[in-house]
Amino acid sequence: MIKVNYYELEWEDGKTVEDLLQLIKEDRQLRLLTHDTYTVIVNNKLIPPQDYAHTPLRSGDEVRVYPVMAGG
Amino acid sequence: MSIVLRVNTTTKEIIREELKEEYRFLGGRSLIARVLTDEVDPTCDPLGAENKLILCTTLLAGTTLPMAHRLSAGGKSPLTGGIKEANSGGTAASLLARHGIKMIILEGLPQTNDWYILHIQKDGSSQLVDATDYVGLNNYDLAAKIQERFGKNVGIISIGLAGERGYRNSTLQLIDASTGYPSRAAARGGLGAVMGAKKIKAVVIERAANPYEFPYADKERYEAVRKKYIQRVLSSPRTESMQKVGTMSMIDFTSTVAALPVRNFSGQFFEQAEAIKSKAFVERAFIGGGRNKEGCQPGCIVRCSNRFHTKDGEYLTSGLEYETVALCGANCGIADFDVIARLDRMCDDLGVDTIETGATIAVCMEAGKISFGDGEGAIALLQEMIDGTEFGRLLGQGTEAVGKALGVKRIPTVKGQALPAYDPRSIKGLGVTYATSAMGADHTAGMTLGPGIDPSKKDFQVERSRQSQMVAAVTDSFTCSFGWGELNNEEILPEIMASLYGGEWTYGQIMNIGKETLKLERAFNQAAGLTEVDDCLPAFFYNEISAIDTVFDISAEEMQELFNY
Repeated sequence: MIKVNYYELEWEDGKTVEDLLQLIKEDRQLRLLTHDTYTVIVNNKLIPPQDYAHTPLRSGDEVRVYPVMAGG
Repeated sequence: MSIVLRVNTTTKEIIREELKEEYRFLGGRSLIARVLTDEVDPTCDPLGAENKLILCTTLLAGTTLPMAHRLSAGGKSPLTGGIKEANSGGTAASLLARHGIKMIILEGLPQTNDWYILHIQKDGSSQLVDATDYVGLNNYDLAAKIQERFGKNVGIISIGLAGERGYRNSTLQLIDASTGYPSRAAARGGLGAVMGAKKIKAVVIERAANPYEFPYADKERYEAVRKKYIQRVLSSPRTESMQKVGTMSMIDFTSTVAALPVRNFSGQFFEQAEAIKSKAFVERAFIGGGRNKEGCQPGCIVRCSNRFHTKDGEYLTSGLEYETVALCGANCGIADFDVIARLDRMCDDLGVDTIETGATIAVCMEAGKISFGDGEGAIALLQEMIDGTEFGRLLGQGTEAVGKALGVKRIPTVKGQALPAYDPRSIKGLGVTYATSAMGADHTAGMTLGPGIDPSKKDFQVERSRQSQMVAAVTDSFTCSFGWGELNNEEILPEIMASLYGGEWTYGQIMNIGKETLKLERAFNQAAGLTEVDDCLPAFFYNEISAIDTVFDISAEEMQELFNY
């Protein structure tokens, strides 16, 4: 189990940040959580985009994912 | 795009002028900052003869570029006491552009109690028409009556009773391109009251018989870059999301990081968030014949708007947006779309800002006038504003006035203007924008979410806000912010300027328009008497810990660094 924006999510240890972003993109429930650009923070550490594919997530990790926003 | 209509409401004289050469590369917000600097005494009474109401189009108006026809309104704000620019979609800017009209300046103050409509006819001539029969009407009845007399397709910029009565939260309402109803608003800062003070009930614009042709410097070059821009907008995942849900999709994100304001900016998560997230919204929006993918201005290709019907199938409102649902919904503890949509309709009809109104109702709830979550109570408070009861007229003075009158300690305002729908403890860069923007608390003045910075930490937020505020001032001079993402780059934007206006442009030159605008706006506010004390967030954001264990911790002194442009 990991936390994504304070919500608990079942998670297979070892899958990466990139896997998470792909899941968000495909999951109807999660996909509108963000648009096309992300800031990803894992356990309070900012993850650069080039590290998404080799940053594994493990049970207990706390992830925050932010979109770019405008107006409203 | 060079015609200026100067309307003297004292003498009733209308003068048609040429746009000054030094204003040529300005539009929307940047033009308003410059004209107010040149023509309005910053110390003036916002509802007096010296203030002016400026209505103008953007730098891209008159072209065939989609999303280019926002209407900007500006003047000294009765709500903040500082400079104000508020913009809106709708049909008015497009119709003005077809006449070649760049700007309308309403000035002076009438010496009698007679009301007028400024009527721009299809041949381009304009006149002040007696509006006696229209006084006392709210925007929906007013628009219907104007459309009956002047034609279904006229553009309208109007005020309801709120503007007539001088409510400091009053709007200018514009006709939505998809529904034909006055549901679009230049909402913030009480500019409806400025038009009301000048006793102009509406501006009515007929479709030009001989449409103005934009003098493209290089039409072939323009068409090439236009095509590239449109392709990028249509292939953007953001556009897909905006069409499916609109700005309401934001709630899926903000509710998860405690950025969604809940019960007067308590900083807590909203237990009923699922009921107002995008899934619930889309399900409810299609009941009764409502729909999404609507464009608020002619030719829009993002089409993020919607129309919302009652469950019985009657049109209720259009453009139900994230800000309205957040402020009139979660911030009041209300999670019922039918109640929120009704509040939205009442706000548009009366002509008051949904952000300011939602924040005001929440402050009433905090004071115990009604309970958090009391939807019918919220509707009753808005009805008091419509009826003009003594308390209703106080509500019309905005969140800060109401909070002070009721003895509320937690009043979420900056420079007298209510905070929009992002808690600054969760997105700290926006807190910097709220505090330091010359506009007062305004999310469109500088959104700060983007790659590379943790929004919940204070690091680099001042720099990010400075940069975002410069870009936002340019956005509001060019186009709708939802078409801006694909325009705002070194490949497209300079190419568009060169093809429209000639010469070669750099991205930096264009961004400089934003920087100069911010400087003018700040200088106006300083001359109006605003000081560093006004560049702060309310104390409770500094000392109440939110649900994600944060407080706003960027000091007033640190935020002053923002002004080192």
